[in-house]
Amino acid sequence: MVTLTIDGKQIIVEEGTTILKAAEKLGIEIPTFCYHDQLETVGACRMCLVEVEKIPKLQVACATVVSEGMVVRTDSPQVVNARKGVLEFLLINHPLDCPVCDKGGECELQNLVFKYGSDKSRFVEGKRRYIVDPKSKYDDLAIGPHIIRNMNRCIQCRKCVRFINEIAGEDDLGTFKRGSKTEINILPDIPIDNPYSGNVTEICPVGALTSKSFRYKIRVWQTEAIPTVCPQCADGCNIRIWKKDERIYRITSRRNDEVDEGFLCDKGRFGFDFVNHPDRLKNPLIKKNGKLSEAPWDETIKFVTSSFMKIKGETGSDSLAGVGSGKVTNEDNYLFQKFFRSVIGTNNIDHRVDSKNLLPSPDTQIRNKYFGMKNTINQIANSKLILVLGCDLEKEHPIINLRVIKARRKGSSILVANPVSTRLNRFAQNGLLYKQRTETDFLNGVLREIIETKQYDNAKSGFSSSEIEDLRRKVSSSDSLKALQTTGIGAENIKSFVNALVKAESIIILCGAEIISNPKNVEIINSLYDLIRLTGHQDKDNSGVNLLWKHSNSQGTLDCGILPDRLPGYVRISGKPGLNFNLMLEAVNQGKIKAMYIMGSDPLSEYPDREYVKSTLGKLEILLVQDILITETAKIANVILPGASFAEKEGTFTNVEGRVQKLNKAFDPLADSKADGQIICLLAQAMGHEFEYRTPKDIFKELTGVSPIYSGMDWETLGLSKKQGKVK
Amino acid sequence: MEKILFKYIDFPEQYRIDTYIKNGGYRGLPKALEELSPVQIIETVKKSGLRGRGGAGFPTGLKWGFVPKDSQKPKFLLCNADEGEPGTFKDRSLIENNPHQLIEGMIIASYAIGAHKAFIYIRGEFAFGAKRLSEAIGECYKNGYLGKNILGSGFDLDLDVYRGAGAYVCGEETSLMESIEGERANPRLKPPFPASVGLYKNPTVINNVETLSNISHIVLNGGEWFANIGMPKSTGTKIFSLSGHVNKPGNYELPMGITVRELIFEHGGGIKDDRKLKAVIPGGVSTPILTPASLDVKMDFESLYEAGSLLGSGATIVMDETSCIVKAAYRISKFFEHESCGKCVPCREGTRWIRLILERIENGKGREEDIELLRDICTNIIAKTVCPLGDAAAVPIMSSIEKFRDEYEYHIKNKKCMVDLGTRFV
Repeated sequence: MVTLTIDGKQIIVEEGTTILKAAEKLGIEIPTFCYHDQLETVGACRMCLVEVEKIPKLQVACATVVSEGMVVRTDSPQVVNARKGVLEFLLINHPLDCPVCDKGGECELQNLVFKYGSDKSRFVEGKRRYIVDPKSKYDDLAIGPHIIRNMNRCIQCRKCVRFINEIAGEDDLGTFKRGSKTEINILPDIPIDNPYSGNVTEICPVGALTSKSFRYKIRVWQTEAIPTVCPQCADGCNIRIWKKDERIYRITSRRNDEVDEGFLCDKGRFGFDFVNHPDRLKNPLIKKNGKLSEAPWDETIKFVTSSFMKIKGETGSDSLAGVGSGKVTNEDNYLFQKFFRSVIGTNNIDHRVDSKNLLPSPDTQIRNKYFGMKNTINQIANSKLILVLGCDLEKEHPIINLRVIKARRKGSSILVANPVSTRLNRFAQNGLLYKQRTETDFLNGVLREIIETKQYDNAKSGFSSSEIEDLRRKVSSSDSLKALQTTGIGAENIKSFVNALVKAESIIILCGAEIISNPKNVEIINSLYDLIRLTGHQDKDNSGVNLLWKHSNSQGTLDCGILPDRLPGYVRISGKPGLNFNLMLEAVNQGKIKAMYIMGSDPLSEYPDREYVKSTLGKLEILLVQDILITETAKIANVILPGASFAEKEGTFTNVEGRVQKLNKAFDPLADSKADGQIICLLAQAMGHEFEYRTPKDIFKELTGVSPIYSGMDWETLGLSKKQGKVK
Repeated sequence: MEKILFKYIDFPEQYRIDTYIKNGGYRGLPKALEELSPVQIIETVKKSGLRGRGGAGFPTGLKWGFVPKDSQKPKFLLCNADEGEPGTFKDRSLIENNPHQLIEGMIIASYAIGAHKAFIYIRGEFAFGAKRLSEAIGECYKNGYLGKNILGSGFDLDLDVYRGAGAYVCGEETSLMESIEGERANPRLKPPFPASVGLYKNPTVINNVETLSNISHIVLNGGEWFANIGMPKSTGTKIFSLSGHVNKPGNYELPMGITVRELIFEHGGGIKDDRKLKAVIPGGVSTPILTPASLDVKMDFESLYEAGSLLGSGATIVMDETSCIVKAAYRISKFFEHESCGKCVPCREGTRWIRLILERIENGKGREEDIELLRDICTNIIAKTVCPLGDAAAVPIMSSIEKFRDEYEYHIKNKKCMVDLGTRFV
């Protein structure tokens, strides 16, 4: 520990702390432009110069490490003048077009000049202009699908370039020319092409990089920022919705270092058009004479419930089935299963409409192999080796992908094995392409190599010698050897793959959709567990097998019992389990299921055999679809109920690592749509059940009482950074 | 006094290894490898008092001593041959005419710091010098002075010539490393210093051509011998690149501590056409300007510092009475604006602003307040930038105002030069 004094206040900090961080702890603000705690420190803006006793020159607080007895002044005349000087330098060539600049109101240059700058200008020369088109008086340049550059406003902190290089691992933005002509640019005619480009608009302290979608739409201060969670994938990035009235203007990051570290993918940042889309369902629709037509809510509810009751009365509860969704909240899903189990009286509940090959359901208290992620998102960056299997990580889980790139930057090895090449392969020490559906053969080859060359960790693996022998016999059989030929991976590649695996101090395996919905998914996952054990990494912090679900609330949907054989919290059904989605389809074809209620899912788009689903669902007496847009499935429904988007409801999502995070409502459901949970309540009430919940908070409370894995979570502290509930 | 570095500078074919050996070359190297340990060599260099000839004058032996001895990382020796300071042309001559003297020094230095890989980062424009060096290096490999097991000593060294990327800032030591690594030549923050975190984040020593050229002589003749030449704290000889309004411009190797007067009038043959001396820039354009009042100042690190300037690279630019200081300052400001790398704010923005103001004054559009504004801008640059380029840009302007304020005032008031340039410059 080191004791130092800043502005007369003493503080004790850890060795290696910078003056900037030490001052932060004391609540002393040292202004910066180029500093970003996730990027390498460059000390280029010179805004954070401070006086350090016994050192003649002012020092940059961002990079100067504290030493015992150091005396720092951040408020001396010398420091104040230096700051004024830097701000003057930055302003002389700045266009001062704040009235038409999108950054106005949240511009760091504005704010720091306001606080530390001079009120007079001494610059009488011509301002520097970066002319993009000599015929235009505007100097805007589109440098990517989402980004507009205005170099005149740039203060050259280069955080954008450094983000693209260091965090995203890309090269598509750079610094050109030098001195006062230095310019941030793309290579000629090669626009920024990476899924993280939007971050540069947020990281830019001024209006030099702005987003196409937000430009000139509204002044920032006229919008209101609502903290919520991204609905796009299972990573669960924390976001802010910037809205006015009932419209979203933009989405920005709400940094949570456990999850997103302050970065979003472009899909999450820019993909919100669906919320205010003109095609949003506004009213309930009932199919009459083959045509969907608008109907009032009460009439629709009455129609649906009487149909349900009629079918239940005629052929029993099990003639009905419910399909939930990983895209709606825990509260909606909880109510949905409760509706089916207590109101309808059936366990025919599922949400896995995208695969014919379902994994076994997990059990309470046991985080078994099929649970999802064993590790946290943060642990990924700490693992010495990451194996990405059957997953286009950048597309499926862009923010987890950034953690893998981070690990690479820290020196970890990346192994990628996929049926097709992915963009992550660029960072891979070893990127293997196996023929589709040969995952098990490939993994057997890997296990065989480890066992036959005796590279396994006998002591740590916990395998008995007979177990090893069993495994050896399995993977070394002539069938296995023959099968290895079909994978398309040569022996040399297996050797180098194994070489990396056995050397690693920790191994995290990430499996994507390709594995989860694989016909041999269970076998693959077992092999991966064998691999982790053989290399001696089971029960280690930064090691483990992780299944990466697809949707924003896939984990929560499992947790909430949208499964035919599990109640919320994976409590086993006492009696006979209900039907999973595949079996439901069979039952429909057999005439056993007559009505289906699909909430938020779109089997016609997601199921591997579209024609089969289409013809099957077409046989239903009642197909009720609840969604926010006319999905492919909704097009063949008898009844459509308009749900609300993520921006219009309160509730919780459980992300891929099991973190329960709160969504907040930005505005009321649009037009005559209703939140999914509310619709379920209306249906239940119409069928004579109580279902009295004032808010999603009440539902969540009930859920924490019912579900052993959510017990003890407190609604009020959910969704505050770092205090989210985490599934035990 | 007998010359050291320039003794054979004009000797025919001195650049060939045979000639170099015939003239006493490659005697220091076997002595170093056979008789001295690396620590002893560093001690010898420390004893010699040799200070960096690139401009900063940092004690060479001390610098070598900073390289961690217990580090398992590879170590590098870099020779800074990116001679770009306007007025300086000594390294070029040393490289083109006596490359083996430099290479011998580099082999000894590498041995002393434990480097097995060394680079000569040579200014991109020095195509001929690069060719000479490459040929000389080829001769060394052929004759066992480079490569594996040098002269049977067991010491290995590979030496490469790296041609510079074409910017003044490439000569700043950390930018130079960035440049070798293939990055933009932008300076790094210091600390960490190159001795611990340098090229590819490994311990690195970087020395100027003239510095390294001295090494074989020091090893051969001993530290005391060198320390007895020149001044007590600025030992040895210095190559002064004399240019401007003198009768005999050129490189002069003289002991440290000769006076400005001696250099200009005894060695340089006096001012051209017997005109009056107006100003001297003693260490390259980045050093503060001196007036004739400083003619008796000794040219060594301490004396010039006391006189308000710097020895720098020893490039002495002489300006006679027909020179316009404002115009000279404007020209200097153009150079530094052009060469600023653009990384840090004060240098990037300040150099342009200074140039714009000087351009205005030069064009007869100066305002009275411009002088104080210029001084203020300089103050906001000096000691506030990442690398010394900011200081280099601001210091000469600042000093020109201090020493020749009347010329600025005349320029602003009369919208023209105090001196009539009409007949001299077209």
